[in-house]
Amino acid sequence: MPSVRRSRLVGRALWGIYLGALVAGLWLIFLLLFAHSFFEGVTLEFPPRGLTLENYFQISSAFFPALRVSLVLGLCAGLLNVLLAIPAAYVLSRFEFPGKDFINTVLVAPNMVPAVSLALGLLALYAWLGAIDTFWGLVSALGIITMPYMLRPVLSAFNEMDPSLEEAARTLGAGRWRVFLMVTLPLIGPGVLAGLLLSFIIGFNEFTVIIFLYGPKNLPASVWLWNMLFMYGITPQFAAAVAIMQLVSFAVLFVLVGVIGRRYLQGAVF
Amino acid sequence: MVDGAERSITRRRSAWPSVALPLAPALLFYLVFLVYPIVVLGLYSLQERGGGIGLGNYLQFFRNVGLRRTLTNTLTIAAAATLLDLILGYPVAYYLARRRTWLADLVQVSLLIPLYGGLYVAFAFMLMLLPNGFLNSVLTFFHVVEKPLSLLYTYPTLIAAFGVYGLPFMVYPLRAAIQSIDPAVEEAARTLGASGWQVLRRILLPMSSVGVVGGVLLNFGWNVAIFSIPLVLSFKGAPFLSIDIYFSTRYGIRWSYAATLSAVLFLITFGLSYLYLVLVKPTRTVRAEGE
Repeated sequence: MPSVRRSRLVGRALWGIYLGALVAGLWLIFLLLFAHSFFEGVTLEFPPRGLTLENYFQISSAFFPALRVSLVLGLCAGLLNVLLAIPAAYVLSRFEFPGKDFINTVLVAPNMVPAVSLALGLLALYAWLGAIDTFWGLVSALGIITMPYMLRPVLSAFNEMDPSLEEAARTLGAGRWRVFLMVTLPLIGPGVLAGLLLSFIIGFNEFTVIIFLYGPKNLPASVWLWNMLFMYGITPQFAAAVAIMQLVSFAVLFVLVGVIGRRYLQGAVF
Repeated sequence: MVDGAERSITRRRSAWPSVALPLAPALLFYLVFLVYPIVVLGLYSLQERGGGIGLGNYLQFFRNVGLRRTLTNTLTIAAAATLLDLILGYPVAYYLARRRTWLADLVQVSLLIPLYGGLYVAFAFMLMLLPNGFLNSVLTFFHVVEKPLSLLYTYPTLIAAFGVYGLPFMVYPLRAAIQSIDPAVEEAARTLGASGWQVLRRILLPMSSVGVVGGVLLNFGWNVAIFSIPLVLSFKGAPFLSIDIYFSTRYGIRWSYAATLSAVLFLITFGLSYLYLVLVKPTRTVRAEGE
C-alpha cells in the first residue's frame, strides 16, 4: 500500500501548507505592526533605513494618560460584569423556571446588536442623563458590550461544577455566604477569571461605542490612536503606540490561554 | 438519596425570590443600557419631519438614491467577505473538527487575534499596502511588479480586511456542524471508492448544511455592522452604512435621520443573528443532549 501512504503524506503536507499560510497571515498582520515600531525615520517605509528604540521615547506624552484611561475602563467594565454575571449565571445554571430560555437569549443579545446602533442609542440616553464624557457612562457602555464574554465562561464553569459539593457544605453546617466564598467561588474561579480577562481585552481595545460617547476628560487610547492617524497619518511613533496596545492585549491573551486554558475560549464566540 | 434530591428540586421551584433577586441587577442593567437605547432609536426613527408618527423616514431612506447606494454597497461588501470566509473557513473548520494536533491548537488561538480589534486589522492592512510598504517592497524586490501597486483604497483590500476580522464567526458554526457528522460515514464513502471531491460534495456539504447556513448568517450579520475597518480603509465612492451614521452625529445631529439608518442596520444584524439562534442553535443543543 505505498500509494495510500504517499497520498496520506501529500494530504498532510497540503493541510500543513494551507493552515500554516493562514496562521502566518494572521500573525503577520500583527507582527508587521510590531516590526514597524522599531523602524528608523520620519515616515514609514519598507525595508527600513535602520532599527531603533527611539520611536518609543518619542510617543506623544498625551498617549500615556489615554492608555491609563483604557486600562482602568477595561478593568472596571470587567469587575462590573463579575458582580452582575455571577448571581445571574448561578440562577441560570441551577434553577428551572419559566422564561429561562428567553433570559438566556437576552443575556447574549449585546452580540446581536450592531455596535454603531447601540452607540447611537446610548448617545441619546446619555445626552438626556448628562452622561456623555463621564467615567461611569463609558464603563457601563463597555460593560454591556462585554457582558456576553463574561457570562459564557462563568455559566460553563457553573454547569461543570457539581452542585452536591455545595449541598454537602450546607449539610455540614456552613452558612450561605460561607459556602459561596469557600466552595463555590474557588470552583468557578477559572471561569470568572477567563471572563474577566476576555472582558478586559475587549473593553481595553473597544473603539466603536467609545468614539460616540467619549470626550476630552475621558479619552481612551484607541480613540487617541484614531485621532493621531486622522491628523498625521501613519508615523513610526504611531506604530510604537499601537505596539504598546498590542503588547498589553497579548500579555492578557497569553495568560488567558496559557494559565487558564482553552477550555473557556470554546464558547467565547457564539 | 432520591428523596433528598426530589425535595431540593421542589424547594428550588417554589422559592421564586431566590430566582428573581440574583437575576434582577443584570436584567436591570440590560434594560437601561441595551433595551432602552434600542427602543429610543426606534421611536426617533418613527418621528416624521412634519411631527407625525409613521414609516415616513424609512420610505425616504429607500427613495433616496444616495442612501440606496450606501445600503447596496454595504451589503455587497459584506456578502463578498462572507463568501471569502466560507471558502477560506470551511477547510479550517473541518480540520478543527477532526484533528487534535498542536496545529489545530495554534489555528484556534490565531483565529482570536483579529477579534478584539478591527482598528488594528485596518492599521495592519494600511502598513502592508502603502506604496512603499511591506507588500510592494517585497513584490518590487523580486521583480514581480515594476511599479508599486496602489492597493490601499480598493474593494479587494476592504473585502480582505473584513474577511480577516469575521473569520471566527464563520469557522465556529461550521466546526460545530462538521463535528456532528460521524467520521465513519466519510470513511465508508472513501472505502467505496469516492474521491475527496465527491466526499465533500455528496457527504460533507449536505450534512453540514446547517453549519453553512449558520456561518453565513452570523458572518454576514457581523460584516454589515463593522465600523472601524471601513472608517480607516474605505474610500470615496465606497459609502458604508455605519460610517454614514457616525458622520451624521459629528456636526449637529439630525436624530430621525441617524436613528433611521441605525434602525435599518439593527434590523439586518439582529434579524440574521436571531434567525441563527432559532434555526441553528437548537439543533446543536439537541444533539449535545443526545450524545
